[in-house]
Parts: sequence; structure tokens; C-alpha cells
Amino acid sequence: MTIPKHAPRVPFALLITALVIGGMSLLLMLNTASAANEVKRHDIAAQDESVAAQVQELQNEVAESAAPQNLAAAAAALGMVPALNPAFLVVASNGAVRVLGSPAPVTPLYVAPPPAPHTQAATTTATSTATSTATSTATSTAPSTATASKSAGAPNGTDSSTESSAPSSPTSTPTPTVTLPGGNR
Amino acid sequence: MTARRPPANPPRRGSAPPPARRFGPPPPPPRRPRRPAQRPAQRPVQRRAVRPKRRRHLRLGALDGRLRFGFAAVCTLLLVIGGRLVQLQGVDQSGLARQAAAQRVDTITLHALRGSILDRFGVPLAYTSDAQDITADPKQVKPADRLHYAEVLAPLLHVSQQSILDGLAKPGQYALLATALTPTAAQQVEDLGLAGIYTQATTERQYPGHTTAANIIGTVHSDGTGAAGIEASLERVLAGHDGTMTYSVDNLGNVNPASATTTDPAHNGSTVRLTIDQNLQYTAQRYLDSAVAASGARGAQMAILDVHTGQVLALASNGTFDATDPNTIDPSTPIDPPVMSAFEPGSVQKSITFAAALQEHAVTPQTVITVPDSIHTGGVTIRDAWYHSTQPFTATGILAESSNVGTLKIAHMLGRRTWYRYEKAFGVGTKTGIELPGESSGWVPPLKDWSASSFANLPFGQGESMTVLQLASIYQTIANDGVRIPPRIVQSVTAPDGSVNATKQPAGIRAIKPSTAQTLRTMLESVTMPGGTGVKAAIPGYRIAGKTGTAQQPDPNHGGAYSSWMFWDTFAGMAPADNPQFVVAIMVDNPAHGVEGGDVAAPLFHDVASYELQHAHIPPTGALSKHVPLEDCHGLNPAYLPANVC
Repeated sequence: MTIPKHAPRVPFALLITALVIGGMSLLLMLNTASAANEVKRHDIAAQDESVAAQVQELQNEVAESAAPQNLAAAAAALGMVPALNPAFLVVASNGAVRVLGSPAPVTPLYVAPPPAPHTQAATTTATSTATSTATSTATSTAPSTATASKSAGAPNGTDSSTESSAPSSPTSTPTPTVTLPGGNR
Repeated sequence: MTARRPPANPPRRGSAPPPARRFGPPPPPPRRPRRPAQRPAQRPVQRRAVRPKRRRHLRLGALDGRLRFGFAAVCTLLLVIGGRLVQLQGVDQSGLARQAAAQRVDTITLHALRGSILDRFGVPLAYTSDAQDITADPKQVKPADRLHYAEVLAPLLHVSQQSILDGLAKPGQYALLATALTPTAAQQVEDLGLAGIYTQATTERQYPGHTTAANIIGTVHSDGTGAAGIEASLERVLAGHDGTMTYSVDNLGNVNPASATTTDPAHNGSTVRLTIDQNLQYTAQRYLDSAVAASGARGAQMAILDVHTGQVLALASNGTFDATDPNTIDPSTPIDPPVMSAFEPGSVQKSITFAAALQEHAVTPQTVITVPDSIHTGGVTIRDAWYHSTQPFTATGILAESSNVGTLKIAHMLGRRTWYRYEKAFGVGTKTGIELPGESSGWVPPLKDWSASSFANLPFGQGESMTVLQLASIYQTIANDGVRIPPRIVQSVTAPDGSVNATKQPAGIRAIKPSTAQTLRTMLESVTMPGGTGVKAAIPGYRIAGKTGTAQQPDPNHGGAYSSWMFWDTFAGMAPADNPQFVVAIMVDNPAHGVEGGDVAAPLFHDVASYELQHAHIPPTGALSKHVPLEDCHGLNPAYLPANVC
């Protein structure tokens, strides 16, 4: 094949060259833009990740400090104690207040239960009626031997006199009484 | 002239012909010289203009021989290439395509986020958060630098310098130096810019409550799969499933930004909402821990149920492990004792006997029964826990003072079949079906297997066993006017798309009539009133119904005979008795101090119930307990009798 001898070669070559150069530079520009965007995206993604991590960490902190054991410790550190006997106030429409329940001051025995072992002084804060009647109960039922025999052949409890742990006096924490065979009660 | 030969050196074209030839015939075309070697002899000035043409002529002259040779060479090459093409495209095609794809495509796993576990108010009990592992490539760390690395990294990683040195001394190219660092700490490590130290994204299961509810939630293996508790039993719901992402990479493994990525998205796990109340659970565990410490008991357990739904509000035991640290799990105790370990309930179980007797009209609360101190039945002698003369107790008094003899007399009025029917109606000996692994069914001997002495034991809760959850369920039945709703602990499951799937509530099972349940509740109130065994459970201002229990434990050192000094102390009760909202069941295993259920378990009830009454805003109803005489005081002088008996 022969190229016509007198074809206008120069403009044609220029056209092709211009097309090639233009195309190449366009491609280059697109590539650069794409790469630049990718870099930008990467940066933003990294930033997003670090912010998300920060949020996560703060959430962990909130969850941790809102957990009951930490709330209880913080409350105890402030000198707060769990209230024992619930009481509610009912405010009537005329402003009169009625107390439901028997509120009683909390004794220091109940301060900060997590470390302090809870003692038998439950009745310490109970009303005086409960305490006195509990005492009378103890006198009525306690002073005999407490034995129970079981069909499975349990030996009868020894006849040692039982002092079923007496209700505590309002002022002192009772030391646990000697444990002796009880039975089914 | 015609024969005249051209001159040996023909004149070049363009050169002036010799003048002598002007009139002769045209000269023959000049011959092309055979050899270029002849050329150098004459290299005239005009050579430059002519040269291209002459060269073409030179090549054309070589056609005939070389063309064939070249053609053959090209054909051979084409054949080889074509053959290879056929081989590649036709024969090995799929394998090669795969290899090629593997080289330019990378697939990574998208890890599904494990679902959270929430309490009944939506407070997270367990959730997964992002974390970073710190790894090292020991090959990249010079031995001389190891000490420096250890000194710098130890405080950031919260590990000992020695463990870092050990990690760096490892052979190979991978050593795990620290797991699950917070992103901030990991960033600090990265900022050090130490060669050969890398971070690796991972996730960490968070249990903000640590020990709180750990027996229920359980924990996860190091690979993140459930190991115990809800984490294990609802593994499929919580785990979700992993997805994949595929994208094209260059030869260095960098993602091609323009490449189309295909993604099979990960499906995150669902969120599980439990019925437990984290604060109540914590309080229960705390009180159990301190009660065990104070009483020298082997252990203690508690179950708290909502009366109207049977939902578990708390399920606690002492000494619960820390869910964030599986090393704290004591392998010698069950993970979740309140559902896994059964015990003999003792007198706390007398409520079933009384429920049966009331419903069958065998007794009323005021029925007077003459109760001796002991009774001989089924070949054995059963005594009361305390000595008393033969006394005319009311049915209420028998329950309040927990007389074994009186209870047996009432049970014998019913007969064993009737009694056994009620026992089963209250769910004794059958699993509750709670969504926790390893539930114990407890045990009550089938009627046909009863020995002569069985019926001398069972009515007051010896010779059978139950979990503290089953015990709570019995009292939930009484509190819920006779309808037992098997306890459940999973409230709902929320899919990642937000759709909530509430747990189907099991149908209620009517065990006793509402009127029977109400009567029994007033009888149980007398237990916590002066004269009863459970006064320490009383909460001033409220009406509290409950029952103490002190069951003898079989003593392995005496051939399994019942021990006289090892007890299960129990208390189960409800508050407020006149409008029950929640039920608490407590078991204290073999306390060293405090013999009876009224000494150890009842105060625990008082403390936990007091808390829950305030926490759940349950005011007193204001009603007063009805006093029912405990004994028939006819003909006796009340002045000589303890208060409240008459």
C-alpha cells in the first residue's frame, strides 16, 4: 500500500500528535485526580476510624463507670448508705403528707456493704415492736432441744440445749450463737 | 559503435555524459554494481541525494532466498505462540484464570459484630468493642534493641518487660505481645514508630458489670465464640455471620481505587435483651457474698421472679466469677448454681402441702390439729425441730412455727396420690425450661418408687430436690393466684435491622385456685409475724408472706445419712403479700453460724426485698395483716402465752 504522494502529511501528523498528547494528559489528569481522591478518602477514613475509636472508648468508659459496682463504690465514697426500710410519702391534693412504711435511720453497720460483711443485725433497724416481739418468740420457742430425726436414719441430735440465735438487741451486733442441730423449720 | 562496451566504470546518474556519445544509441541502463566494495572507489558529491533509492534496491535483491527463510521462521514462531495460546486458553484455562484472579484480586473477611446482651431496661451487660492487638516481627528487631523495646513498651502494653523480651526472642516472624488494647493505647504504640512492632485490629467483648450477672451471661472463648451462659446458649443469635469483600489490587497488594469491589456484607449478630435487672442482680450478689462471709456458709443462691410474668429479675449466687477474666472461674463449682445445682428444700416446701390441703378442703387456716412432739409413721419417727408438749395448733400455727409433725398429719389427711399431684402441678422435679444451659430438673421420687418412709419425709421437703429457681417458681405460683408461669430470662431478640422478636411467653399452668392462693398467702404472712419462724424477713410497714426452711444435708462421711449439723437454710417469700409484685427464693448452703433458715436466709430476704421495694417503687398498700391464732387458746390464760399466739 502506498501513501498518496501528495497527501497533506504535516497537518495530519499534528492532529494525531495533538490527539495523543491531549488524550494522554486527560488520562493523566483523571488518574491524578483519582489518586488524589483516594488519598483524601484514605485520610478521612483514617480520621473517621480514629474518631469512632474515640467514641467507642468513651462509651466503654461510661459503661464501666455506670456499672453498679462502680456506682456503689462511688456512692460509698461519698458516704452514702443503702436505705433499709422503704417508706413512701403520699402528698394529698390539699398538701397533707401521709407516710407509708416505717422509715428508720440507717445504722453505720450498713455502710458500704461491698467490703463490710452483712451481719445479722437486720432487726437493729426494725421497729421496736418487731424487736420486742421477736424476743418473746425466742423465749417461747427456743429453750428446748432442737432435734429432728429423719427417716433416712439421721441420728438424733444431741440433747444440748439450743439457744436459737436470739434477736439482736438494738445496740449490739450479736455474735453468732453456737450452732446446734436444728431441723426442719 | 554499437558493440562498444560501456566503460568499466559507468558514469553515475546525473553526471554529465561524455560528449562523444551524443549521437549514438542510448546507452544501456547502468548496471548495478554487484559489490558495494566497488563503491568507495568513487564517492562523488551527489551521493547524498540518491542514497535511499539505491538501498531499497539492495534489499529487494535478497528476496528470493531470505524470504523463504524468514517466512519459515515466522511461521515457526507463530506456530509456537499459537500452540501455547491454545494450551493456555483451551487446556489450562480455568486454572490459570483462577491464578490470575488470585494475583490481582484480594478477598478479605468482614467480621460480623457480635450482638449485645442487655438487661430489662436496655443497660448493656455485654457488648463488643474494637480493640488492637500488638504484635512483633522478632526478625526485624535487633537483639541489641530488645531491652529498649521492652522498657518502652511495657508501660503502654500493661505487661511485664520480661514477657516482651520473651516475645521478641521468639523464633519466626510473629509474636503476640499484648491483646485487646484500647485504640488510644495502640495509637501511642504506633507513635513510637518502633520497627517490627505492629498493631492488628481485633474486637474485645466488654462486660462492664464484671461479676454482675456473669453467671447468667457467661463469657466467651478467646476466639469470641460463646463459652458459657447466654453467650453459649444463644451463640447462633448473637454471632451473626461473617461477610467478604473482594477488590482488585496491584502487584504490591495496594487496593486499586478504581476497581469495582464486590461485597457480601457481614450480618451482625442480634441483640439479646434479658429480663434481669442489673441493679437488683448486683444487690443480690453483694448481699449473698456478705451473707456467706458472715455466716461461714459454703455458698448461697437467690432467685427473684416477677410475679405476673414469671420473668427472672435476678438469679444470683455468691462468689460469681468475673466475666472479663475466665481465669476467675472456679472449676469446682457450677457456672450458674441457681439453675444448675439442686438441693433439698426442707420446710420451705411445706407450702405445697398446705396448698393441697386448703384446696382439697382438708383444713382451713383455723383448723385445730393436736400436734405431739413426734410421730411414728412409715417405720420412722419424725420429730419437730423444737421440743414441745402435745399442743392444739391451728393449721396456720403449724405453718408459722413449721411443725413437721403437724404437716405430716395434714399430708396424711390428703393421701399420697393427691399430695403427689399437687407436687407435680407446682413443677417440682421438672425443668422450668429457662434459656440457660445446664439446667437441673431437681428430683422428686415417682409415686411408684416410694418406700414406706417416703411419705414421712416428702411433705416437709426432704427426700426431694429442686433448684432455687424452681423454689422461686413455686412461690410465684402462690403469689400469682395459683397460675404458674415457667420462668424465662430472655425478653426479646432484636435483629440488626431493628425488628424486635419478643420471646414467646409460656402459657400459665393453673396449680391451685385463686382463693386457695390468697388464703395460703395470709397463712404465710404469719411466718414473718411475731410467733413465726421468719420474723427477720419482716419489713415494717409492708405485709410480707414467706416460709423458712432448714433441710438436713446428707453427710457423705456417714454413708449419706442425714447430717445433724449440715443444713440447707432456705427462705422463699413475696412482697407485698396483699398485692405480690415479686418473689424471692434464697438458699444458704451449710452456714456455720445461724442454724435455721430464719437466721440466715430470712434476713437476706429482708435486705433484698427492701431494696427492690424502693428500687421498683412499690409502696405499702397500707392494709394490715390479718391475725390468725397459732394455737387454740381455749381455756388457757393468754397472759401466760407468748405474744401473738392467740
